[in-house]
Amino acid sequence: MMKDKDLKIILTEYAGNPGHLKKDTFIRSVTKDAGKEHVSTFKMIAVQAGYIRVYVWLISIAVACLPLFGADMFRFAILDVVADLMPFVAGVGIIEAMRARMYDMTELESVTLLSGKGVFYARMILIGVVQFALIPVSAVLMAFADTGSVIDHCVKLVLPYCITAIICLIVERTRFGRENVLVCLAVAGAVFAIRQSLVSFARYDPGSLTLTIAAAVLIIVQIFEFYKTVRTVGTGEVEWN
Amino acid sequence: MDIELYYDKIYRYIFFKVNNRTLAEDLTQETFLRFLGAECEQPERFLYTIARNLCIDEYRRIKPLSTEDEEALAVSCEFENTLVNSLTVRKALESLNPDDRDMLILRYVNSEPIQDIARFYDMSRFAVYRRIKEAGNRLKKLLEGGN
Repeated sequence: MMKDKDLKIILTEYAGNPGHLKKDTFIRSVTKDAGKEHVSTFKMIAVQAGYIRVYVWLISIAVACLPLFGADMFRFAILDVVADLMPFVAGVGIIEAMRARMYDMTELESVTLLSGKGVFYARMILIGVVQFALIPVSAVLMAFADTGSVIDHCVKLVLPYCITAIICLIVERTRFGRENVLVCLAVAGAVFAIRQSLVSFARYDPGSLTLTIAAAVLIIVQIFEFYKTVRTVGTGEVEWN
Repeated sequence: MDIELYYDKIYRYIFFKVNNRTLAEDLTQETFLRFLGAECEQPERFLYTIARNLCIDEYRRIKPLSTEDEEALAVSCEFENTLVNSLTVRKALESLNPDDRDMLILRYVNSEPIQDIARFYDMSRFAVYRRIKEAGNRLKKLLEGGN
């Protein structure tokens, strides 16, 4: 008579095992969303607002409000002074958005309630919106001390800000940028130096219309570069691959 | 709930009912998808109940296999079964009472404790043990006769 053990083997072998690939794919897809709390964009941004360091806000507000206190000191050069500082505002903003990398916390950030991508997205939106909102504030304050129009001032502040932000975002996607977070400050320094040589020394002025068009194009390019960078966050991808 | 732990058990339970690997895999996944949306105190029992109901739905939906299909099934399973011809096992299992067959599979293939099987069927442990033992002996005889 056949033993129970043999019958068990026969029946188990007859049934076989489910396909491993299909099983794994299914379990992954089912467990992926299980226990994951949906976080709205607003909540994500609100959470990140608390994590952005005070000095970023202070620098942004200080530069924006500089015309209020520095107008008497710098007289008509106040626009140039604020515009010269804009690259550093942008650089500090990008560094803050990429802060996790500075402390090698990217992996940890990727497994928290908010994904690494989400954190970067929220921080960039928050810092970008606040800094962009401060530009017209600064322009209005300057208009009181200067004879130029508010739009002209806005454009002249947006240009160095956007150029720096775009270059920083591009550099952030390269291996060199990923390994050297403070490279954003170097980029800001370079933009500052170029602006100084073009505007302050060479007195280059292409006219309001050209500058306005350039600013509009740069804003679009910056948004494009922002989304391009968000896509690569947490994937380990760098520009050359 | 650990899906990994129950996946194979549910798959085997369904396979013995539908005799088709692809269909068994699909129904296993369907079982878990239905299970995940519900809350229950006895997950194992609930899973088996969903699986059984899905199989019943499937019986109603599909047409019975023709002789040609059965031969094709036997040929396709032949290389996987080195000990006994799959068709023999299948015929032997089909000759058992459906409840006895389910209890046998739960006990022998899925290694479920007698106590749990008794709870699934609302029977005493002794009754379940006796039915499994009898069904097992009948199956053994059929298989030995088939060889």
